[in-house]
Amino acid sequence: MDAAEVLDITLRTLQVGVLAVAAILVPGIAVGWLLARRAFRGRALLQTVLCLPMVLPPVAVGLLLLHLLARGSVLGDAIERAFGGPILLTPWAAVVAAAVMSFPLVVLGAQQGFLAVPRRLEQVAATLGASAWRVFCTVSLPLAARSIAHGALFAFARALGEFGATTLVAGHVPGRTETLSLAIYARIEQFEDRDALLLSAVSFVLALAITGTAELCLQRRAR
Amino acid sequence: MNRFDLSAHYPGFTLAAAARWQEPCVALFGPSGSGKSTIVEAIAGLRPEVRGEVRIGGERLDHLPPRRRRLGWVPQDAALFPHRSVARNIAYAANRAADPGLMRRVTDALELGPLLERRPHQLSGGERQRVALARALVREPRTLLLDEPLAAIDRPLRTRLVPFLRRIQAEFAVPMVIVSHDPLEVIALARWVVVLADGRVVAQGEPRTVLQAPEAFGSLLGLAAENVFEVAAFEPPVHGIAHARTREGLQLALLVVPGQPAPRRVAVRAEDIVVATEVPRGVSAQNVLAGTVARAEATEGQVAVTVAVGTARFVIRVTEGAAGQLGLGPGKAVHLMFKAHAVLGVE
Amino acid sequence: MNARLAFGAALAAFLPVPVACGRRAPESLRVAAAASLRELVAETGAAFAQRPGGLPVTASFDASSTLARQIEAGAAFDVLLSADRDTVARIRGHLVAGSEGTFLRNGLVVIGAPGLTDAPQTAADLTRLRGKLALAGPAVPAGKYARAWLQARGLLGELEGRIVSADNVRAAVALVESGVADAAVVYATDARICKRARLLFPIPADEDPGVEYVAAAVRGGNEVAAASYLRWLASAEFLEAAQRLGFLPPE
Repeated sequence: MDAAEVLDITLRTLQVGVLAVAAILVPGIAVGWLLARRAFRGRALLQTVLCLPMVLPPVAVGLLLLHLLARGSVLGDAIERAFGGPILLTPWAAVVAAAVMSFPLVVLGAQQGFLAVPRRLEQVAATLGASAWRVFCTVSLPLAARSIAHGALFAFARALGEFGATTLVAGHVPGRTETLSLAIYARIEQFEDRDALLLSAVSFVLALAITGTAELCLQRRAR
Repeated sequence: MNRFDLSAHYPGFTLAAAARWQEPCVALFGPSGSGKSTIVEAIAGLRPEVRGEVRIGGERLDHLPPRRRRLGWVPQDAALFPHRSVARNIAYAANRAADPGLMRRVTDALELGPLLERRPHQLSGGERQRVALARALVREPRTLLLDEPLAAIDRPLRTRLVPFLRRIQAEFAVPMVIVSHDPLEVIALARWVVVLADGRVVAQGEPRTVLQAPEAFGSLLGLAAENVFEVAAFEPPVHGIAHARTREGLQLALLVVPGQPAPRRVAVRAEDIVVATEVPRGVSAQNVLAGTVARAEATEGQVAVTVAVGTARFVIRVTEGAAGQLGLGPGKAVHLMFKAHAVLGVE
Repeated sequence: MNARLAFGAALAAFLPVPVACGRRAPESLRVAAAASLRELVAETGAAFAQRPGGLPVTASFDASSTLARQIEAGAAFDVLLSADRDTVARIRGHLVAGSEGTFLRNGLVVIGAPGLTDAPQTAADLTRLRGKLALAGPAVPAGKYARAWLQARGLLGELEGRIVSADNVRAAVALVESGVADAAVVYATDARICKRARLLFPIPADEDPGVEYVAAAVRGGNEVAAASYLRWLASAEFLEAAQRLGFLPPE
């Protein structure tokens, strides 16, 4: 396995991770805010459903996604019409799998963050004339930002390591949907231990670099 | 014309309070749990479960959301935005269209210039209150709602904030509603008092009358009726202890904080006064006064005793048992003792 | 502020979007292949591309059951190379009628732990093992066939207590190499590349239950190119490459 291949796999893994987190960030914050600040019927149900990707084996989630995105399903056909081909077995499917598996982490981070914002501050902002949206942007969100960032970080890490669901919907196409975790698994299966260890080392270095940088940024902002 | 007529039900507590006033500065006075903060928050629109009418400055507000009521609410702990500097806290409500000099005037009036670049966590309790006041003033509110403005500040330093509040009343002509459980704050700042107990209004009127009347006393259980006297002459402190001579001729020893201006009035809480039926000897209290019991009224397990010291009247509180033991009835000669620490200088 | 900008810039560098969904930019043959065929398909792909009527090969390697599910869900494949007849039968409706055929076999062998004394030489000898016998799980083709073989020899019942099931063949090999199991039944191709375990004996031809690889064209795909690929699987060139890796030709 040469350097170009390692680079290709690593870059692809990072792209999938970044796109997955980018996709779930705004919805995750919104759902987190909803769970933290609003009481509504079915809230407990929503909370439970959100935890499913964390509780179910990833392969089970992958199976669900496979059925949701299959040809003949509402979603699958809509995507095919819009983009000219099925989403299964493409890198986008890997993004979807990673996004679904990581979503609860962003929600949790946001929920915890918003719960920790004293209501009093939001109330004061309202009495000072701020609309609900302004209160959210200038008070709730900045104060919850650290917790949200941590949630996003965990989500990113989870996305990088995603395997079970990815393998079902994105398949394992070397050069196209092969992420680090799929690559490592395949090398192990084929007794290519040296390559497997090399890729594992790359994963490790990647994890260190990302979490290290992010921690640094978060620490500095906390002052 | 200002009024409120509010009701709400909570587990273990019912709010049913109505009051009206015209004065620019009114105090909501009562013990903890009497509903004061609830009422003020309801006036601000932050308590959707409280129903009823709210009228400030003649306008009906209860159908408006908080952000449309234009009231300056200053909660008990200042509630400054921790992620913004002092300057940006104050400017939160600043309108682009509004008077640009307003922020300047507010900052100057509250002497916040040197603090503008600091963060809330770097400020003292008193400084935070001033910033919160400034922030509320920038909104150009119809009325300020101050929830226990002096509560977070150490006793000797409380009087430092009073001048700022007075200055705001003078310079910005903005009316105030002050929530307080401290009669001292009430007397220092308000012209009208609404007394609350258990979610109901039990008395309304001018501070002196309301707070010292024994009729209101029973419902002021847990509070002290203040003994307030005007200062005729004031001697600067020697070794931290200053002396004030009141108009009635009382000579009182009190503690002062360096830099504090000479008080115009002094006050002592009824609960800080100890009564003796024999001449006390060798006590540490700096104030020992001889007097005669004028009246003793029993209410709910306590006895309010009015003692005449010369032409001055003191109200003290003792337990029924103590009153019985000491035989405190009209005409009894007694000595009153209280520490210099217990005498508070008020502007 | 600076650290944040740097972080943001680094992040932005990763956004160049991966290949568009669905559209295959250069025309290629999409093959769904069992994981154990990875090396073989990769090696021979270039050769097929150069033939007349040939195309570059894009393959997805996975468990046979996963491939079957994906085909059922309408995933875009042209050719299926499965290690499991049963799953092929299950999805027959999605395959081009009559295109199914065995194109390769993989023999089963028994491997033993490095320091094993008194090593078994025949099936019956397995009962003499003191330690465990590792097999791939019953759902995995290798495991299925291994159990079928033992069953046919009448040994399954006796060995039941000593069998340890592994997730897959690779795990079974790992159990032997680490000494947890004394022996394992694995594919001949696996035994060829594993480093520390040693080959004890291959399963004789007359006892071989037939670990067969089935190739089929998928309905709705590029059926012309698929047919071309299936023909090529029978060519001498392909079979030679396969045998070099330890596979057996179909009989």
